[in-house]
Amino acid sequence: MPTLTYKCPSCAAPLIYEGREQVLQCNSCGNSFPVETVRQVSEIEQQDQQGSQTSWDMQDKPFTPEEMERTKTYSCSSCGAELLTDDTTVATNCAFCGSPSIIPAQFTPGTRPDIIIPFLVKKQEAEDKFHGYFRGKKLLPNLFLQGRNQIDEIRQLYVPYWLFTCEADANMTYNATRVSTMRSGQYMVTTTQHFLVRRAGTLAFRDLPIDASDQVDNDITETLEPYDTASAIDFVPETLSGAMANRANVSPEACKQRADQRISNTTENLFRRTVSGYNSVTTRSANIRIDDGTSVPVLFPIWLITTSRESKTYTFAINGQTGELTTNIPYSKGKFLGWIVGVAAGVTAAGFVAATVLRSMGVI
Amino acid sequence: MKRIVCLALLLLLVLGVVNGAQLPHVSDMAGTFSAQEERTLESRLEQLYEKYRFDLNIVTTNNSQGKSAARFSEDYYITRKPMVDYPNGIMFSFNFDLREYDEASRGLGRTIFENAGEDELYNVLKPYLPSENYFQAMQAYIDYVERRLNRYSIVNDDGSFTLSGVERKPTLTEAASEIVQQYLLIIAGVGLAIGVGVAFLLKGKLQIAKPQQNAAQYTSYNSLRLRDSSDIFLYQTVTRTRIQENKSSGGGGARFNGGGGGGGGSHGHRGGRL
Repeated sequence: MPTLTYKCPSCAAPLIYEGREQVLQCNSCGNSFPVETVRQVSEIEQQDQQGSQTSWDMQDKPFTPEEMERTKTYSCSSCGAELLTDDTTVATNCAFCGSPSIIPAQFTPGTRPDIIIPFLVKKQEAEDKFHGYFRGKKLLPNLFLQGRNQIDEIRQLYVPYWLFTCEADANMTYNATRVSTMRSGQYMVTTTQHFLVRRAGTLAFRDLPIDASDQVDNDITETLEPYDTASAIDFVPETLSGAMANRANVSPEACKQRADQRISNTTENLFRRTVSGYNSVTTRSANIRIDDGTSVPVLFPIWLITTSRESKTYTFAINGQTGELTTNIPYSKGKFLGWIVGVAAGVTAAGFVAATVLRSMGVI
Repeated sequence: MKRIVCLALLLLLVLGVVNGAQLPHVSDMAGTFSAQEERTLESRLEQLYEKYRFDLNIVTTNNSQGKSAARFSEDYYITRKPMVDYPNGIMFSFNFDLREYDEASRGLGRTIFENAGEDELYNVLKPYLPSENYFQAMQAYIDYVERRLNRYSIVNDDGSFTLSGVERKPTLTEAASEIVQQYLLIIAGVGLAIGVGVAFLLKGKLQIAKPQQNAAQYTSYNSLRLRDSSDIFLYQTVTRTRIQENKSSGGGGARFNGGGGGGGGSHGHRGGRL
């Protein structure tokens, strides 16, 4: 199957898609080219090379049927080396020449992204955020405070999402009470009025992203929200150049459950806020239906950084659009308790001294 | 003759003072305290008198002689210890037949205690009265009296105390002791709450990945449309709760000031129901 590598028309070095200017940038000669120009040049070059392509599959040791199911091989269009990918990889870098390779054929029907948010955070910024993370974090395990935290691997990754747009139709009923108290002679008379409150209506949701890949932990991808889809651009393969990308391998039906859960929670919360003027309100029944739902595949940018400590690998993820960082490293429970005890003791001591002085001055 | 009369008067005066000084501070006519408890209270009250020249007395009775608790305590005090010999003091009475208690104060006792209010006295006794632990109630009461006397005393150069009618500011040690007793738990609670808050704040700074629970930021602006908004009244319930009377005032007429019980306005009173 063909792969796409966009080369500099000037020096033939690999071109990298630059998200801020939305051009393909050559890091070798410094030239930048509009996407359309590079595409035209690439098509002409491919036409010129037709007939000279050879079959190069030199695999000696055969893959198992299971591996064959998951793994596909492509050849780097720059150096001819074999690109070994899983069946969801749509963009990668050649392990030999480093050339970015895009594999459009990997997009199965229905998974070609409609839009893509280009990387606005550069690699150096991502690395700076990683190193800056460790400053001022009082609850970091000592493991991360010993020596410099080295980056094992940094990946510029486009993660596939499904963007859900829908309208939630809610029928909510609540039990509510209104309490009034008045004095009557030697008695306090408390009157509790009970109400049945009904709210029905609709609430529209737009562009709710649900991680469509099982390659990245959903907790990480959800923590990196939100993304500004207003600054997304129409997907063209050239935008993947220089990055790694996977296509969606979790169906919208499978993601719908997660979307429904978040949409239902928000709908319940917002409808609950319309019930006011009561002393207590409890939900009696909640019937939420999702109407006119659509889901479109998109690609969102994430810098994935891994670091190892004591044979364990920890992941840092940075939103490639906003720079928001999250991680799965644990916090130190000992330090957590220590801070509680320490601050409590300090505040108590300070409060005691202050109160004593104020008392001795006759203020309190 | 004149010399004999003068000697006789002097003798009477000396005897009176001696007798007055030897009068016990505890009159347990109701048999409330054990002998050991009575001795303990007597000893403490005598020490209080020696230290502050303040005459604190305790009387218990099952027979208030048809008087109110206030009138009984005041009359008993006047009869037993004349004001001329004991200008500053308190007669605290437990009138079990009336289920009341009363504190009759005179001289600086009125200044120091009467204006402190009945709630303060009630709060001192409150932990012990429901269990009828009158001995502990009196121990706590003596502690309380001593604390207040101390605050209304001037420490002389020789270490003795002179009562005054003006409350002085507490020393740092006294203030610390009072803060420990009154506010330490509250301060520690606030400290703990702040500690927990700070710890969670620091944990939040770690930016640990956690799943989103809602989709609030993906709602279309102003898209909430209500097609049905009804609040239906179902029924109402009414509960009546009898208002608890102020326990310290007792409602039994024990609270009155200025000797309304027949003491001629020379004593102040605080009291309540048992």
